[in-house]
Amino acid sequence: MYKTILCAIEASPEGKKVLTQASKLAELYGSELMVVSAIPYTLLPSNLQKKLKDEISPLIEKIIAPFGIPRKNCYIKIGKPYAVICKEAGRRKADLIILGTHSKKGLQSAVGSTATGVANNARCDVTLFRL
Amino acid sequence: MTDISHILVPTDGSDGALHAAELAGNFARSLGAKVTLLYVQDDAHILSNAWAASNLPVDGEEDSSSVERVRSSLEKHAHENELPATAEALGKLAKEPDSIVTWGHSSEEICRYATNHNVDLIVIGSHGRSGLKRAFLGSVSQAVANQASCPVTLVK
Repeated sequence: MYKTILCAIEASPEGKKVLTQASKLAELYGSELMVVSAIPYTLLPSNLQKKLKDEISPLIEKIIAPFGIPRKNCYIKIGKPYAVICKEAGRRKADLIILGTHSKKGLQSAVGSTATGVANNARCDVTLFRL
Repeated sequence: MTDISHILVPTDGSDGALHAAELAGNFARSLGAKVTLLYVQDDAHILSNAWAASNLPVDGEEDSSSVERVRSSLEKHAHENELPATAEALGKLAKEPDSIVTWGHSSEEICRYATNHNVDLIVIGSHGRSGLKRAFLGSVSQAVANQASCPVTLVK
């Protein structure tokens, strides 16, 4: 079974939905749950990236609070979402990544799809929830 | 999703499918879930075998007796080889898994079965027999993740 689950979310109602599912799954599997959120604006100057991160962090914290996830288990990083998710999964030794797919096209081979990037690049198992 | 009581493990007998079955077996034991193994014979595979067996002209009508013969031969092969191997990979379960063989378009049949039989989770190997191994996600697992109405776990 999975010891550590990394759930990828955005600061949105969809992020809360996927975390709700991930939380249930973590409970069923008896796993520790961690959260990652990627800020994709890599070309912005660093001061604007910091400002964006400062704005997004409270929103993510508000989403994770009801699930009892400690702040230290929440990682907010700047970078390409799929790369951030896969890197954090490796760093935190996650054995499962959970993410939602809300596109009508779901997991598609289109370049830029986070779900496709994670599924192709993650070294651990991946569970996808259709939102 | 409130509970996982029915897990679907699509299998093609590949190493990836056997690995997915091992994991699904662990889930099933922990969660007390029922497991169904599903082996889908791809239509194109059946027809190409039927064509080879009967020397059908490429643009000719398919020989239904030949198609049926190949289909039943492949079904027998699945029941005797691929499904028992996958069932063994699951390990001991409280309830014997159901073993289903069907035919059609692999990903469509897997998703249709999942919808029609209230499957709570599909556990599938990220790479099956077809496509570039290790390079990219297998075409069937990608299509299942794309189309399934329930959560899908891609097992590496």
